[in-house]
Amino acid sequence: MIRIFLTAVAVVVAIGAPFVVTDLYFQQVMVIFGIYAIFAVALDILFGFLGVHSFGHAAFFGGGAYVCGILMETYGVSFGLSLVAATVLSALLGLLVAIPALRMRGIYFAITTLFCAEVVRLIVTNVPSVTRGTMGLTTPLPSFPGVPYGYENLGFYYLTFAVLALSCFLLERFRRSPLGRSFIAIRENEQLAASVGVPVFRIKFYAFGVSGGLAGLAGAIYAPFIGIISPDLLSPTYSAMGMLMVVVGGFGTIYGAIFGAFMFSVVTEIFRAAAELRMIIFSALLIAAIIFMPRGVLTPLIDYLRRPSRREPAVLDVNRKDEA
Amino acid sequence: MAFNILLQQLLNGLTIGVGYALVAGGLAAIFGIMRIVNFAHGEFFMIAGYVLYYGMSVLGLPYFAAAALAIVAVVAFGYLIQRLTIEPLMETDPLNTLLATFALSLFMFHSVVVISGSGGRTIDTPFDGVITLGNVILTEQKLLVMVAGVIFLGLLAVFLSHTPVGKQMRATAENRYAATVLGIDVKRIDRFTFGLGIALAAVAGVLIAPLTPLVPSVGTAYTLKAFAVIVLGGMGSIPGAIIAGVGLGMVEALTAGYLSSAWKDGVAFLVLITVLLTRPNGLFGQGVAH
Repeated sequence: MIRIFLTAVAVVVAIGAPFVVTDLYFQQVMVIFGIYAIFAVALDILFGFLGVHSFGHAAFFGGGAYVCGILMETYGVSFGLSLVAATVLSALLGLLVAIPALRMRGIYFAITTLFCAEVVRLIVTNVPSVTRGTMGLTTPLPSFPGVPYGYENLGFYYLTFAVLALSCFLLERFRRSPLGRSFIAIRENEQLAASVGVPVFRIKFYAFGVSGGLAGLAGAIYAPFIGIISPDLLSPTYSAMGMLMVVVGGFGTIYGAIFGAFMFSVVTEIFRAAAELRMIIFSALLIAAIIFMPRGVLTPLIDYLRRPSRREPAVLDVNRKDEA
Repeated sequence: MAFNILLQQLLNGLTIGVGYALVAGGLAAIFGIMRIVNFAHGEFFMIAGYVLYYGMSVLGLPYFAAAALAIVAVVAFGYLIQRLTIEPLMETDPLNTLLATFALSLFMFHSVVVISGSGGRTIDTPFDGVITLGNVILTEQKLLVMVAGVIFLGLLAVFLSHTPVGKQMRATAENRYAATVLGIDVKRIDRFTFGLGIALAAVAGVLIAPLTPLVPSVGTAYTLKAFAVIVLGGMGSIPGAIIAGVGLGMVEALTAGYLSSAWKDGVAFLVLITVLLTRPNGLFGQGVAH
């Protein structure tokens, strides 16, 4: 009951926010928050649901941004079609990365995903005829149906939060489905899951595709919103940014990822004057979070609030010693 | 003539390769003994270069004095980092140290960008002369890299095989639990290992940094190269890291010379992914990847 009430409040707040916050700058901050939240939720599918730790998700975020940017700028494709294409291609890229990466475990998996992202960055940097290389690619501002010229922020806002809400809704439904429960089973004990007939490799493979596609969709919205994209989007900084949001918010709970994205956008805006300073502060926060709050900021709080917890399976405890 | 070009490329590759061997040797020691993956390793290389630059330009120190200062400062910093962030996470899930060192690398990179800007810094050493051997040209700094690099790698080998601490380190790498039972203070060994690994990266930093304009992103680049090297050499194998490091330097130089310098990094990554897929234990390793 509380859940439905909170969801209803969140939806009303999300729909009403742009009418209350009319300042263009703060509207932009909200859109960035929404985009980061989609990216964090995409990463949480792997980190939190499956216990698979990708260190190269910038490849999908940046990849989606580039697909969308190139299609819109160079080929004049419509925004909607570019979004679909970026999502599909990022998902395919995810499957492609999954083929070598899923054969590895633990640190080898982390290194492989990190390197795959570096390969993508190298390709984007070295094909200036298509991507403009390090110069960066400018992307045109799309027009949204029913949104008057000059109010694109609103278009981006509702698009972003519609995508976020839909993916959260689907993931929440999914988590309670038999297939979703097999994700958790893999996370908790892979051998055991495999021995009771859960197709571990196939699930991880497709999850990688879904997560890559969703991260790519976030990037595809990001590109025309920011207006210029560079190969920096594919650098480990962006992979780390995603992990940061998920770790600070707490693994395996969708609201944790969204909360992490909120923290990240807020901290980013507080230290807006010095773009580099905010990464220093954020990386220091991440280290502190890993040492002092391995379960994130929000998860222990919520556990405390509903102590006699009956319904939810326990969240991932990253301090466990077994299972690398 | 074509042979001379080949020789020149191989010599350039050897210089870079010695640098990779030093950085990756330290990374391999840290992985082999502490079983942690140090994503911030290359940043220590980069910071050593910057301390060298400021030591020479601001303090006006001569090259060797500034280099010694840089190595000492970076090792002291590394010790602090190890005590504050890595030691508390040692007995927890390996993911924690992985994430923590990843965050550390960002922290160090962005700190240097704030302090020094992302533009290039040029370091002038007294070794700016050129030695000509037939048609092959070698700068004195490159010669210094090779000579000093080989000396330090030799010292490392002697240290590991002939000193009590070196033997304790190898014992810890072999079996951490058994080493504890035999009275080896593994915590002390961990601190020492981390310092030693960082020191090797710093040595490489002060040697290699004067060769090209120094930029903050060189740290991440070296971390990735060092990873490619230790995966090729077999995770945790120091001799493997040295051989693979020199080999990677050569392959990169040949790629840059005969194909395209823009794609030389790609070759390293491609080789790495292929090795991971076909021989996940590395070319010389005995570890278990799966």
